[in-house]
Amino acid sequence: MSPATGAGTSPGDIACIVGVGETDHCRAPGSGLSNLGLILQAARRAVADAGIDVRQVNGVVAPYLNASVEEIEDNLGLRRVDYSVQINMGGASPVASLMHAAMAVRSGRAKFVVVPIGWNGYSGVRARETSDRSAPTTFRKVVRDYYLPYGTGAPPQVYAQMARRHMQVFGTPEEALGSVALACRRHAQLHPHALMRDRTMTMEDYLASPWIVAPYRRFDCCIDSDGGAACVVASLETARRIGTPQPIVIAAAAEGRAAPGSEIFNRPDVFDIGLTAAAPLAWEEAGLGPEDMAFAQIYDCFTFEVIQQLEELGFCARGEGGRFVMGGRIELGGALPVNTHGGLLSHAHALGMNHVVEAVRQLRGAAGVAQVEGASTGVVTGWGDMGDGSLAVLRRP
Amino acid sequence: MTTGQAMPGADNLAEAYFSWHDQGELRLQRCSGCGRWRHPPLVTCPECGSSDLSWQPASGLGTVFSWTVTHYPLVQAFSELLPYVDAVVACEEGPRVFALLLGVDPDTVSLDMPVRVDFADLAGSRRAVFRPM
Repeated sequence: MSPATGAGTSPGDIACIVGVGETDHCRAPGSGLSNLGLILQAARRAVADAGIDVRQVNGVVAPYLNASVEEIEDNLGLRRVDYSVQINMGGASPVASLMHAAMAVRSGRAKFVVVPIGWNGYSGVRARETSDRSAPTTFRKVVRDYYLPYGTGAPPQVYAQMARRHMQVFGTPEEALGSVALACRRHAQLHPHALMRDRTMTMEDYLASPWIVAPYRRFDCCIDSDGGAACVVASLETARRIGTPQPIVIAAAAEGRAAPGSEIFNRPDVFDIGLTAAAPLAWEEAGLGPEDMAFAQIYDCFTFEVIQQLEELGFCARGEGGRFVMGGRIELGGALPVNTHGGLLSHAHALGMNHVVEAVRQLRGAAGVAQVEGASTGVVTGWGDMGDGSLAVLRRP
Repeated sequence: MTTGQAMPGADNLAEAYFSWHDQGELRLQRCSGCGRWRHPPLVTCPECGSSDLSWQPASGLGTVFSWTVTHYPLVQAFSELLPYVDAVVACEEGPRVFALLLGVDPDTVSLDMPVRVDFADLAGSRRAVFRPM
């Protein structure tokens, strides 16, 4: 039996990304589009990049917020939808969606699956406002019910608890968090559309930035922005038939939730996250390991989450992540360039689908001055809600 | 000892947890089937499957498992308290609860610091909080 998402032996059994697209990313005065409008624009651009007619799409993975399958179907003018699903893992949803899309095309049920995401993260409801009464996700319900009565309502307040514990238990220095912020900021200088391009940062700047919720400073926090991004997934057989110039193979994709799933502070080992179980699955399925990766695009809602995910991915032992990210290792030219577009911290907050787009750009050799020379394999992750995790191992065919 | 009341549905469990605070008590869910303490509360025990769960008084003693210091007004109702310390407290019974830490200089909080429950008015409601011992 062939693995669930990894490359099988025949082209019909291998899933790949055949198109990617992004909207413009912006802050003030806002995108001028609705959330749904951004999602649709990103979807159409990814479909155009794939070189197909939008009506060939017969699979939809809807984003976890802001658009239903039906709205996407109707607005894109799809003739039929043979496979659809909505993934609820917060920021881990976009990369988890790659797993679902890969399974759909490998089963033969779907030919082309569109995976769009988008939001007015700046001009609309801000990500930090998690305390809305409707609380559409489990994460928001738990935050509303148990943390908000004590003044913790925003994601940085929840996750800073994990960062603090790690710093205390493993001696992770604040300069380690700063190293993540700096790497992303330096990479943003190389990306033509990064929102923090032309705003350089030094470690002194980082350490002088004001506390938001200690141990998180302002520069530990991702930027709020409006925008969207999308990709189209098909089998390698289909890609070859339509003449896709550079299909990027999904060598493996996996998702995971730590137990208990709905509360992050009551796990037997508090550093267990979704990636803890998902990463070994994906590495085994891909037949590749951390040592094979030319780059890593890591969901960076906040700096510490990058450190924690690198540990759980197996790039270093748990507790060693702080030392791992220091000294330039995660910068271009280092052993493992991370977030070569600038990430959520310095490129834009397209819910991590911009990380997928960047991974594809790198593997196509189209990353310009930020190109990791000879990159043929890379990993991209998602992080969401109560540490839900997802990863995709991508490679050239 | 049980409360004599069936556990509420999932949507009302938080309400039930905080209703004890109104009475000046910190209670945690405990399974009558296997004796395990749990937080946050659930509808059935994930260990033994029992739905015979009750609210039992906690000692109110614990240690600081982690903490944050909020400096930026992320939650309007707490703006007057800035900067304030939110802690994950490891209760003597095992479960970790989320609560405000009062009576402490934010710079002197430390890992495993022993704390004791107290009750304070927060944003219009009486809530269990913790203070250094």
